[in-house]
Amino acid sequence: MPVAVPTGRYDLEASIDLKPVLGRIEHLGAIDLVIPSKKILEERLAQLESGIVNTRRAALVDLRHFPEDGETVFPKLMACLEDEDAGIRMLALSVMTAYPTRAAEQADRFIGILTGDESVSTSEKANAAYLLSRFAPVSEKVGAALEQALAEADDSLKTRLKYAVENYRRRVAPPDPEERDDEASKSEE
Amino acid sequence: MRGFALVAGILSILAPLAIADDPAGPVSDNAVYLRLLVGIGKPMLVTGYLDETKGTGKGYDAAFLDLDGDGKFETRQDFGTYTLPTNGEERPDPKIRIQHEDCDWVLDLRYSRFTPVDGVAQASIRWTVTRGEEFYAWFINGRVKFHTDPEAAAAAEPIRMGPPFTFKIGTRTEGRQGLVSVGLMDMNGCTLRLARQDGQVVSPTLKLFQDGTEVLLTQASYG
Repeated sequence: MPVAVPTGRYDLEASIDLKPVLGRIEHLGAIDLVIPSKKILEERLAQLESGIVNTRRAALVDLRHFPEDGETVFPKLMACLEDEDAGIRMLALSVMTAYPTRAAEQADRFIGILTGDESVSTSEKANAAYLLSRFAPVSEKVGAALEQALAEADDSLKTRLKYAVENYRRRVAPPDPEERDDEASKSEE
Repeated sequence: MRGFALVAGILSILAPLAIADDPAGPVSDNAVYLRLLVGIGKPMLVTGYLDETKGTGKGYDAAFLDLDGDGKFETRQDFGTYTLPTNGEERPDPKIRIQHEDCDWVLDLRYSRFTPVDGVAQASIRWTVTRGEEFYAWFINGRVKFHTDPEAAAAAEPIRMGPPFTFKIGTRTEGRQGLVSVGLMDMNGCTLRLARQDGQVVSPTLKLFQDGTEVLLTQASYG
């Protein structure tokens, strides 16, 4: 599990003593935990208007890091759902998981993507499902939509929908601590 | 550690010669070969293959191993089964067990499908090492390749159950805070999932310094 620290630049020392069988392992390094600046935010928002798909994609990836600027960023992410490039639409849905509260206010839009016709790609549907499962707060309406989508999903979507549904269920009712080890390891597979 | 690296390097060079001839040979057309390098002090080289003893396509149910380097896969280990908790289905539970350095080393292939494509099977591995009640470590989520061609298997990197290990440091920012994660990785890409010494959980220690001053000392947790 990650350790939370104030942002900044640090020297780091990690170690674990697994003697006598596996020995002692050490690591020295440096890490840079710097909040992306407002200037970068402005640049990335401008790049979203680029005619070059790769520029728009690169900008989108960085927009994950501005949850405190959701009022500015989230409408731009919503606009990306209308992009002609399916990869951009898919990525926008992924980035929105950094804005779970604002996304929850648009639940119907994402349920619409999840249950969309064949013009919506499998990846978009899967990302919409994962985003729905990450909403804060969770809602029964979203849970019902996810369960129904899973019941009706074809093989290409079923595995990923199952992951989203399990994610939703865990958030509604966390697993028994006795089962936690096994559950965690399975999700890492 | 350097001594081990030297020994491992030498073994790695010599190992292609170590795939044994097996007079009986595998039953399955899809038998896959593997090499393991097990242990820390004197790593032990194990070669072998996974077979479908009831015939091709009938499911992998046994490993045949050369544990003593005599060129014969004379040790047979039959796989058990486990029950899927979700639907009660019985599935093969492929595990390879090796005794070395007073420890039990277990390679767990439960979540792998070995059926090869173009002679190569991608496998997900886990492994554990246990020394009585004194020591236990569990590594998960490694990725390796098995080969239907013994010579290709001999030329590939062995699966390493043991050192060298490296720390993988993950960092990201979330809002106004930074998040740091540490993971101990082996050469197969496995991550240490749990370690116990004398019944106590052992996890990595993380220290952070700014301007030479220690600002954080904590035990990372598994999760």
